[in-house]
Amino acid sequence: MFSQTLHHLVVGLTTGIATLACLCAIAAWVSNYFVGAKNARAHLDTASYIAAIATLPLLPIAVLSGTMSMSDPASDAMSYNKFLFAGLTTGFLASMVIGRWRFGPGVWNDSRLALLQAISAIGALASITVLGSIGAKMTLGESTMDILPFWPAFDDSIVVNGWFSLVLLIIGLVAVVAAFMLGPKVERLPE
Amino acid sequence: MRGRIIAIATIALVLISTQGTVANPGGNGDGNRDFVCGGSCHGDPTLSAPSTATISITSGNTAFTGTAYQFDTTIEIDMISHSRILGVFLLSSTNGNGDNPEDHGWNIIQDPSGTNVNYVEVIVPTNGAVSLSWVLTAPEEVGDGDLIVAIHHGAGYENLAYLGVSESHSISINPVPANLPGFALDWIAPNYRVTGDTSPVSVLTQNTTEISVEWKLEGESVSHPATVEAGTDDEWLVHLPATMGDGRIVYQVTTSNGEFDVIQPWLTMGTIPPEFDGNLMGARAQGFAGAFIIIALLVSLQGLLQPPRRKNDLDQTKEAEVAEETPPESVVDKPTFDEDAAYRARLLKYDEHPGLLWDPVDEEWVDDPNYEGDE
Repeated sequence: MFSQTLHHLVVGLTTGIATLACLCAIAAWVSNYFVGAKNARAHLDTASYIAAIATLPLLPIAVLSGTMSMSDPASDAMSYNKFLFAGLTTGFLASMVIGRWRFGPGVWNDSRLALLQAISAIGALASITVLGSIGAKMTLGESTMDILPFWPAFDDSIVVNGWFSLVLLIIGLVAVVAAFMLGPKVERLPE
Repeated sequence: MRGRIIAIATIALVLISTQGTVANPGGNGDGNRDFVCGGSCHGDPTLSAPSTATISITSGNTAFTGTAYQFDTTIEIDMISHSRILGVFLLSSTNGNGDNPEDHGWNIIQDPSGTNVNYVEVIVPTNGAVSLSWVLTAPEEVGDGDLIVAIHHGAGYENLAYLGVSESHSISINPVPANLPGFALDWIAPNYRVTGDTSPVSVLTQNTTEISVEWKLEGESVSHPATVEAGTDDEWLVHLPATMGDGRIVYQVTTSNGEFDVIQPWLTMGTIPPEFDGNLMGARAQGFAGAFIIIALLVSLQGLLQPPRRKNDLDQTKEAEVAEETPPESVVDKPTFDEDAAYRARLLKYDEHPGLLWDPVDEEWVDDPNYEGDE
């Protein structure tokens, strides 16, 4: 019972802060197209960076509390999809934070990197919207996203063999290490 | 004073708004239920009204003990709520308790939804007519049995719960003629099959030497013969085509023993998705894998899309700063200058002062290093 209450609390915090991070990042990217928006961009960048960093530790807490609040987690497609989309959200948000950390606030001054940051933010926002929608479907039986005609059916999921999941995990880890160790060296960009 | 008025108005507004939430306009779902009692909305005279719907029953008035009996009803309704939900009961009495036909010896094999309950909720189509069928096995005792249809619904914005009850349909339950072929008493028709499942449906019978089966998809008018394979001990394996998605198949069994041919009621079988085979560890591994792969992809893209480093090479700020701190080296070759030889060249020798040399710059006498005399 406590885990359910905790889950509701943490989910509210996580989705709220993550949405703030993503919207601020998208707005920072859009501000490049407005003359004299440098100050606003600096504020949006800071808000986005701090909110994204705050979301990263909250996400695993939300997943753990959600797992504890269910009697049989991941035993149906809906809850299985929640794990998958939690992973996608973490990936997009972490990439956003890493990009901002490596290139500094000047990341928004380079058109290609700014676009990549915005794509990460849009991906994170879409994933967390789907996460919330699945949660609403599971608890309330309906979601505000039901009005969309193309909304996918979440009563189905892509389930792969357990061993293959482990292989995918190892491939993912190796890919991350390779991206950092073998990828091009990056430098902070001037503001 | 103004605050009190606002507070009273707010309380009144809240109280008024609660009137709309008294009922269960979305229904309570299918289940086994008794006739409405006085405490409910549909039974409370102040909250309910009689339905104007027409309930007709088209089933026969004869059944044999322990054999299948199909109960058909058609409801024509002219006013319904916006959700168009209609709750339909199959009852044997209207006492408010013990009204389920199963309390009176009947056994529900299948209800209109494909399960085996006495209350179902259906959506009324725009033409306002609903036809429903229950398949039951008749009580084991010979006598008369009653079946009644009751309905619950709403209508528009009137906030009234409507109740309708049919005339009692009396059925004469006769003893089974000797050797009458039919379904086994303990056989329950399967309600669902997994999508794509082609495994045969098992049918258990009694007093039967042969069966034939016709099938059709729900809503179709033309039926097709099914292949039947004899099993062991009154078991028959009926091969019905696989269904997908929300498809529902209906089938009718004719049981024969050479003496009687009994056409059984149509039975319905729905389709359910296959059992989910995911597990927690797999979900976690897949979730983490997705996160790592996205991070790897985007980090690689960050490296590839960063501005070319050559642009930084043009920035000579650091070199200029270093140059300011250290003086520039002369580009002219320094002349080789022997200080000792120059010093010796400027010394003057006077004969009257042997062993000594005069330095005109420092204006002093210094020892002559070349003097070898002993004075």
